Amino acid sequence: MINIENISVTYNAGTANEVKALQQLSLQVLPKSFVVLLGSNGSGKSTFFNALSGTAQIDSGKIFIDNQPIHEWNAYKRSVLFTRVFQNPLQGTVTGLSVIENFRIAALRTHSSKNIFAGVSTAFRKKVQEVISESGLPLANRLDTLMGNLSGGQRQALTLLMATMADCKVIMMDEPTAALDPRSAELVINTTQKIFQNSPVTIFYITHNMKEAVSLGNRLLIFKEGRIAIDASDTEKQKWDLQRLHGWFDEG
Amino acid sequence: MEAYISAIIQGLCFSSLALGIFISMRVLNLPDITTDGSFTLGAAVTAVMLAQQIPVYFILPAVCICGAIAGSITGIIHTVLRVHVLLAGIIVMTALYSVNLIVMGRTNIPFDEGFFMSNIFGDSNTWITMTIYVAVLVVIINRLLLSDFGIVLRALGSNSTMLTANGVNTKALTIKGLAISNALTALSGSMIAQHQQFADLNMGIGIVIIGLGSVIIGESLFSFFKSQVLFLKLVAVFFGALVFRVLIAFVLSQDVNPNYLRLITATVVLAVVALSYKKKPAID
Ligand SMILES: Nc1ncnc2c1ncn2[C@@H]1O[C@H](COP(=O)(O)OP(=O)(O)OP(=O)(O)O)[C@@H](O)[C@H]1O
Ligand SMILES: [Mg+2]
Repeated sequence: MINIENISVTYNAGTANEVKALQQLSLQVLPKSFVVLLGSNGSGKSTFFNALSGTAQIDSGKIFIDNQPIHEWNAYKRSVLFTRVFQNPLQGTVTGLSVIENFRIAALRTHSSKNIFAGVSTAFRKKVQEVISESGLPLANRLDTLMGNLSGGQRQALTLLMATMADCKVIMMDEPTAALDPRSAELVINTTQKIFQNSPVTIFYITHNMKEAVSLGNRLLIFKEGRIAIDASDTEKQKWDLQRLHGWFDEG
Repeated sequence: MEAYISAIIQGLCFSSLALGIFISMRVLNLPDITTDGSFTLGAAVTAVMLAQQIPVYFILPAVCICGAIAGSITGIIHTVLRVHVLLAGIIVMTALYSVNLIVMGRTNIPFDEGFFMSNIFGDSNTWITMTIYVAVLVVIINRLLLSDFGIVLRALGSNSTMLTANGVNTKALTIKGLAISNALTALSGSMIAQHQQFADLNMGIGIVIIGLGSVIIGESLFSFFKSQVLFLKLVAVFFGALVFRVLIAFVLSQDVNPNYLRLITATVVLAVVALSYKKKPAID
C-alpha cells in the first residue's frame, strides 16, 4: 500500500524561475496496481517519480509505503523499494561498462550482506544470459559489449530487464517506449506485462501514447499543473477510450 | 646510460602515482589535485618512521593510510560541503603543506639507508624489488576494479543517477575512491623518497602533471590495442610512467639546463595530449 499525503515540490523556490512542479498532491495506491500516468509536458509526472524516489526534495508532505515513512529516507536507501526506468535511455545504464557489469549493478541493489569483493561469476553470467534470452532480445551473446555501443532502444529494453534482477515493490517507468521503434516498444510492453503478472509489484507507467494509456493498466491518472486532474480505476478507467482522452486533452 | 636506468627506476616509483591519477581522473572522472600534498605526505611519513627504525612492513601501510585520509578529506569537502572537487583538492593540498612541515619538523630529511623496500625480500637488488612491487600493485588494483566494488566505482564517473537508483551511496563511494587514489599517490611519494634518499617539503609541487602525463602517454601508446580489457589499461598506465621518465631523461641528456625541467615536463605532456586528441574524433 502506497500512501502519499499532500506532497509539494518547488524548483528554484524564491527566485523568478520558481516552478511549482507538484502542488499538494495526495494519492493512495493498492498493492499490485498498474497505474498509467498521462499529462501534458511539464505537468509534473517525472517530478512525481523523483519525489517518490528521493531525487527531488519535497517541500512538505509525507510518503508511506507499507506504513514506512520513506520521505525520511535517503534516495539510495529508497531504491530497495523502487526500480526506475528513466525517460532518457542513457540515464538508466552506464555507457563505459559492459552489459554484464550493468546487470551486476542492478543485481546488487537489494543484496543485504554485500561481499563487495565478489564480482561477475560464471553463475551470474549464465543467469543474465537466461534472462535476456527469455525476453527475446537478440543480445544474449553480447554480454561483454560496452553499453555505449548499443542503440538507445536496446539499452532501454535492457534497463527493464535489469529491473527484474532484484525484487522490488514498485517499478517506475518514465516514457519507456518513447525512444523505441515499434518492435522494441512492443518488447518493452510485453516484458512489463510479464513482470506485472508474475510478481507482486506495483507499476507506475508514464506515457504520452494514448493507445498505451487505454490498453495498459488498471488505473489512470491524468496530471495537470502539478495536480492529479483525473483518477480512474478499473471499470471507471475502461470508460476512458481514445476518443474521450483526445477530447479531454483538446479541451486543455 | 646511468641516467636512463635511474629514469626507469623513477618510472617504477611513479607508477603508483600514475595508477592513482588513473583512478581519480579516469575512473572517477574527478580532477583531484590533492596529489601534490599527499605525495609529499607519503615521503614525510616515510622519513619520520624510518628515523624511528620502524620496519618497512609498518611503514608502507602507514603511508597508504595517511594518503587515504588526505583523499577522504578532499572527498568529504567535495561531497558533503558540495565544494567543487578542484577547489577541495587545492584546499587540502594547501593545508597538507603545513601538515607535512609539522610531520617532518624541517624542510628536508636525508635518509641513511637507500631502498629499504629491498629488505622485504632479503635482497638488495632494487630492480627485482621494484618489479615485484609494481606487479603486485597492478594485480591488486585490477582485482579491485573488477570486483563489485570496482564495477560500481567505475560507474560513478559516468552515471551517478543510475547508481543512486540502484541503492549506491554515491557520496560515500566518491570519498572511498579518492582515498584509494591518494593512498597510491602517497605510496609513490614514499618510493621516490627512498630512491632519491631524502624527503623534501617541496618534492610534491606540480607532481600531478607527472601522474596525468603518465596516464595520457600510456593511453596513447596502447590505444592501438583497442582493447577494453581493464588489466591492459592498467599495464598501459604503468608503461606510461616508464616512458614518461625516459622521455624526460632523454631531453635532459641533451645538455638542457635542469632549471627548465618543469617547463619541459609540461611541454611533453601538452605535446602528447595534442597528438592524442588529433587521433580521436572530435566528439568524445
Ligand atoms: N531540475 C529541475 N529544475 C527546475 N525546474 C524543473 C526541473 N525539473 C523539472 N522542472 C520543471 O518542473 C515542471 C514539471 O516537470 P516534469 O519533468 O515533472 O514534467 P513532465 O510531466 O515529466 O513532462 P514531460 O512530459 O515533458 O516529461 C516543469 O515546468 C519543468 O520545467
Ligand atoms: Mg517527464
